[in-house]
Amino acid sequence: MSVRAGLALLKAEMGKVWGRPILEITVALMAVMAIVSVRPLTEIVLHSEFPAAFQSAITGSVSSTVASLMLPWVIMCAVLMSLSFARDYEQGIMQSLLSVPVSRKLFFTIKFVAVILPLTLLSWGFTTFFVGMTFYSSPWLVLQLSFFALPVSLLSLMFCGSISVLIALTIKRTIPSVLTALLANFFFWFPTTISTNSPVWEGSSYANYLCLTPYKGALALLDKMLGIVPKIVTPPIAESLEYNLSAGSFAALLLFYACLLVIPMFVYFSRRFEICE
Amino acid sequence: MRINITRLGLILLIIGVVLLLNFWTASLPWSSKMGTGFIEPGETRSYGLFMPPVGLGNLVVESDTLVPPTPPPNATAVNGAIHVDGSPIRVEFDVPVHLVVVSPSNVTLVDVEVVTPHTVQLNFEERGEYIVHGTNLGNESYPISVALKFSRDGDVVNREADKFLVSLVLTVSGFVLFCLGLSTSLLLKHKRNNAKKVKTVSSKQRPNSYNIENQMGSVKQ
Repeated sequence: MSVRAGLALLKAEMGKVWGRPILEITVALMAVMAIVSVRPLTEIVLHSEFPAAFQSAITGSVSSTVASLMLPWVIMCAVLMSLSFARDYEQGIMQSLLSVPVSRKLFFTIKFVAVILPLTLLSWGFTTFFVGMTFYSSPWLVLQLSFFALPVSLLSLMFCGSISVLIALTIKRTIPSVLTALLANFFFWFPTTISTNSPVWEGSSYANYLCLTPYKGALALLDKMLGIVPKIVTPPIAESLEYNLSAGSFAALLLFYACLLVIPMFVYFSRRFEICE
Repeated sequence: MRINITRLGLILLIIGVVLLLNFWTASLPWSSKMGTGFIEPGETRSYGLFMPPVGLGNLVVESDTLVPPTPPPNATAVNGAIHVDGSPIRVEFDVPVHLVVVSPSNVTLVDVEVVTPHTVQLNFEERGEYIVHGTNLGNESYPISVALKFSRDGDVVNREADKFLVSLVLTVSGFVLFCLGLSTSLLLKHKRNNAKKVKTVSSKQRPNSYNIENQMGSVKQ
């Protein structure tokens, strides 16, 4: 199978997945969620501290935009990935496509990439656009800082997508698998809404481990890469995992989560997955 | 993923409308203040104001400090500390200050000597850092603070002009593209239907004329 044929397949798959009105719904959801983080910014600082305060404002804006975009990308990834696999199986498209000389590995990769890649680019684009709207006087700095959103969103989406594939290939029915994938991903997304500083301060041990969950870990990695540190670092917070673990540790953790299900699902689909006629 | 003019227009329209609704309703922080301790006579303190183009606003130069309440004469210390009921008292000073405000494009907007507290009305027309230099012209050191206040009532609407313009441009261009794409596709569809009709009519007519010609031929013979 040539590269050109692979690209043609990818184009066809993207056309199918992102047909009207999926792209429009995704854009609307992302715009509504990202707008929350774009508030009018008026700040008074000492003139000598202005560059640092300005950069801090940009990093804060990037972080909050990515955090607010996480819900739409998790929802859309869960829905589209399970739709892509389960609907094709249910309608018999998968059976037909696999009867032609297309390797299962390529088929899986194309289906996975057709959902993950546009979502990653959309989230990065929205982050850059919405942060750039406020800080357009420093476009390079905005581009440079919003670039960190790319690996974070890609790895989180890989995790989200792999869960959805697992559910879709297990249930093999469109609606139940979409709903289950949505619930499962929502469950993993929920810890991102919990602010860990207050529970850690109060001595709740569970809060210390929340940063190890996939999406909360992704946001912690983004904050570490952007150089955002808590304003008040008192002993319980200073001893917490979120504060002590380095960006490298969070990156390794996120990479682990991203590969945890993707590789087994890839191997399972290409070798063991049985397609009933 | 095929993106034609109609889809692009719809996407731009969605983003534009969301932005427009947000900037139509978004309100500015009503007031913010920054003070940095006492300033020696003749000393200049510079502040940076990161401001969006929101129109008219009030820059207030003040000299005030909070003084803790004095303990009563018969107060006794418990564990080395005297507990005093009451909140700190705000003390204001009248200080002559040389005030200079420079816009992000390096234009001096204000260059005056004032006595605190003093309010200067500024028109924030561009986004960026407005630099405020305050020089203490008094004989003693005083705390000099800078505050921003926006009127909540009245006819002045403090809206971020640049973002509003972007959202307006996006909405209008999205609407135009959407309508253009829609009308083009409708026109093409109409043309295609017409072409189909002409084709079917001509294909239906051909055998008839052929038959008529044949019949004429047979009559002649």
